[in-house]
Amino acid sequence: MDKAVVDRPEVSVVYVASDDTRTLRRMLTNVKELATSLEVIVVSPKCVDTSYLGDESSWIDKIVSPSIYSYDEGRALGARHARGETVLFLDERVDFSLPLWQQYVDAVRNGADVAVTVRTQTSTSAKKKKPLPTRYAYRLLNHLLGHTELGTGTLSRIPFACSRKALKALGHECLRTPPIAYVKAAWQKLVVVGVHPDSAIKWTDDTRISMVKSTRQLLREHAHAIQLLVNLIGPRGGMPDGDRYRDLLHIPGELHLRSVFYPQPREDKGGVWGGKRKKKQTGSHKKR
Amino acid sequence: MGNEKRNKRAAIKKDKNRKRLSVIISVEQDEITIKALLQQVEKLHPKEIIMILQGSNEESIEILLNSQFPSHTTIIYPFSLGDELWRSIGAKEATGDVWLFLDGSEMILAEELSPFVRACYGGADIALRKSTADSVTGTVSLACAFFNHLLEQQQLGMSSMMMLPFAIKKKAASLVGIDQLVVPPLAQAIAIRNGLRVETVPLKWYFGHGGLNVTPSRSRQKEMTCLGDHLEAVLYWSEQIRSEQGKVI
Repeated sequence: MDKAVVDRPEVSVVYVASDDTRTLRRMLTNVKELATSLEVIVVSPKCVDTSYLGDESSWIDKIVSPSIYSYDEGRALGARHARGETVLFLDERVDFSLPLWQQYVDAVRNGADVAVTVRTQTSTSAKKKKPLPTRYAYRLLNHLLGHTELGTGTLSRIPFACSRKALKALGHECLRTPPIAYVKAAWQKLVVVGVHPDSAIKWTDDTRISMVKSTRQLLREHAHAIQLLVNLIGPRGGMPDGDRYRDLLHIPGELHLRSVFYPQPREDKGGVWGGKRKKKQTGSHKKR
Repeated sequence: MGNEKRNKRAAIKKDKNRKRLSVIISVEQDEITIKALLQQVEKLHPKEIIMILQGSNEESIEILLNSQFPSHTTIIYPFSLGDELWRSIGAKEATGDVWLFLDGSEMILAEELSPFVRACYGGADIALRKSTADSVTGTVSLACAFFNHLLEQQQLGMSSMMMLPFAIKKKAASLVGIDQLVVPPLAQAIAIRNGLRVETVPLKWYFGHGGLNVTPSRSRQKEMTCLGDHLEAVLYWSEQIRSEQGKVI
């Protein structure tokens, strides 16, 4: 696996790590079976010690950039250096599973430009759980893009894979704000497919990990992505305005084409108007 | 003693409503429900009732003009104003300082309406109908849920100013802009932006279709309008975030 001899590897794996490289070893041991020609790019905000990997580490490209504050930024930087026909995005939080990663690579090989994870909720305990607010954002964006079948599929969550064509069209910088990249992918008619993992993806729940974006930030990024989509489509995202005569709001009510009936006096209850009317009637009677 | 207290409380409430409450009702083809709804609204003893009839049939108009409800102002438009435009038109006529917006196609008991008004007297600026939906499935409900989380108002669930009834203080409406009431999610976003207090009120019993008894194509049209309204509101919020952050993402 000599990286120097392969100009355009079949698959690039972009792996972002803050400091936890426990999953890196497992990945490196098995990843070679993913493709005949392969490159692995490890992106980190600080120097990751891979000496314990021995010879295994010799074919890894390491990118250290202290300016990386989130996994998305790391992925954008990794994508810039990736040369593979298919780029698979992973990070330290997820454990390696060859058959699963193969699904993403195969999806791109079979013509997809972007392959995202579609989460299937099957267990009863999962059904009972209150959905995370970010899931609403992922689903809404898919609905607005006409990809309802993709459910919670998103570029904000790994694993996902992109073709070289997709990365060229989107630009690696775009991956810093994944929902924006997602909207651009749909707008540029890139083929986005969902990968349904056969088994649940194993996540490490290390609380030390600080490169995860906050829910607030994720929701805001989705708001910006929706704004981009609306700006691309046109006013109100092409949705109707409910046949509203909005001009009426700028015209005084007296000039509206309408009839107005004001409250009637209550004679039986001795209202003020009723009183006056009675008086008037009495007066006219006197004149006669 | 208990009865005395209760009567005293009811008298205070009645007095408050007579001085402060404006009820604004939209009527289209609602001859089945409107009379019963008006009977319930009368029990609140509001300062005024403003009825906005739009594109209504003769039967609905007859019922309202011949009814025995002397404290209402009836505004008749011979054509449909379009979705939610009646809210702004009605609000411009209102003189109370708490406004209760109702849909003529839904009969709701006075006891159920009272908490909306009470919430506004008690300090809320806007009292929304609490959403009872169990799951978020359709695009519109997704938009409502996403939007409330975006506004950091997760306690509102899927409740929205789209849903009737809701009550709002006159001061709050002025701050939001009366013309903005036409696009309910946008009005809601402006309210939150201005730090107004939004609460939800559960509604246990009601009768009628709440504007849902329409043809499938009309229903689809309404949904799309509602989605468009949410997009308009998300755009507003996104702009606010950008100006707050002072940068372009």
